[in-house]
Amino acid sequence: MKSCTVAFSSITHASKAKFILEQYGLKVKMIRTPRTMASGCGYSIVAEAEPQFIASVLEGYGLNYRSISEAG
Amino acid sequence: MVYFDNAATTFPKPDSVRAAVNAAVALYGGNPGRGGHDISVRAAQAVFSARQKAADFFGAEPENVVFTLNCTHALNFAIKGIVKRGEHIIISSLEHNASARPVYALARYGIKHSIAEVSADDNITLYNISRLITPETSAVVFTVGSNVTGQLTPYRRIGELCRRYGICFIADGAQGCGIADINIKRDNINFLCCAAHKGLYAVSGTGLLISDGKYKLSPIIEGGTGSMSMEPVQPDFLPDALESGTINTVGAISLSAGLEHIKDIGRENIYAYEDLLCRRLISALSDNDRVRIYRRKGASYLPIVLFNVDGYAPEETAAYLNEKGFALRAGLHCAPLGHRSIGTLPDGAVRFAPGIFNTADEAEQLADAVNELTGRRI
Repeated sequence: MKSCTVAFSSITHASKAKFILEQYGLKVKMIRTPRTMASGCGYSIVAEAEPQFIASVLEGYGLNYRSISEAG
Repeated sequence: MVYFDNAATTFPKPDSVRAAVNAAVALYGGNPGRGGHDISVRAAQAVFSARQKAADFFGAEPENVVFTLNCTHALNFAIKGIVKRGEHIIISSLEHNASARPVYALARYGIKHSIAEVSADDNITLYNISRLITPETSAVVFTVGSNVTGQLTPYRRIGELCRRYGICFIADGAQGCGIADINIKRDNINFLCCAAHKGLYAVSGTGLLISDGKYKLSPIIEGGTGSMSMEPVQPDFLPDALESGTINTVGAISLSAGLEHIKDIGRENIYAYEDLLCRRLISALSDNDRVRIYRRKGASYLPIVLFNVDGYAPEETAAYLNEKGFALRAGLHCAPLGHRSIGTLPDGAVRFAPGIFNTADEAEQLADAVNELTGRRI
């Protein structure tokens, strides 16, 4: 299963994304944003799904994220 | 001691809230949003859950729920964050100092205000607001219900009026939240300010500012938010923009339990029960011509009964009742505007504010004590 990392500006937005994606039956974990994705403090979620799917769901909920990438 | 001062803060708190506070201290001691370790993340999840419950309860999005110290802080954030030099604000004749003083303080920046008289007739109240609107009016600040008399304002119609004129509507829900039916989307409330330690049963030090997302507020406090830390400027997104510094995790978790408590009993049932206690008291005092109850015909009320006893200053009445084992607050209740509107300045009156844990017997025992004070044996 592919997974991706989504970086957010706010832990509240990351928490909301985690909640939404869990409603889709996905396994989601919250982590600190890797420095390769963004500088400064911030939180990301790691979800077991294609980045395109995650982006589509989050955009559907109007949830802004900083960046999204396939997890290595 | 029988506690009838629930308009100041609800007491006792439900057992579930006490248990949640214990759990918060024991299990959620990390600083939410300030680290990547499990203890911090666990606390952050608990805080998010509280935001989500508050958002569901008031028809908002969780990220638009901001934790504050109390309702006064929320009102200061909203009022001072929305208006600009040269603009105009309308407040009600029932406002608490939590709204009135921030508005008065803005006069030094050239911001004018007008006071709209609240009538027992909602149509007249609406007219009184609309006739004060000018092209400079940027905000209407109105309480949902008075902390002095409990009188409800037509907040839904005010929201609709503000929407039509493109004016920001800031609602003071200190007394109304948890009792009145409030949904910020449906009611066109742009900012709802709550004292979560009152009708939402959270512990003291817990307030909420809930936005519908339409207006951005300029922060009046800047600092660490756990986000965008390399940037010298405050983040401009909620809740971070208005939540500088460590938030009150214990308060947030207590709010979660408080909201669950309301959900279990039903907000409407809480309102109906506390209103019944008010009606019991009014009925038991109604034929005592030495007791004056401040209620207007045609108006609707939150569960508060304001009264005075002829021949006694309000503080004397409250002191007598305290000796008899009843806790009621007398005086001006930090709301001289409300007292001015009913003619009870400068001494104020005595406020009966029952809670969900009071009984009808207790309300009647209080009435007996008041009747005894007036020398009237029943």
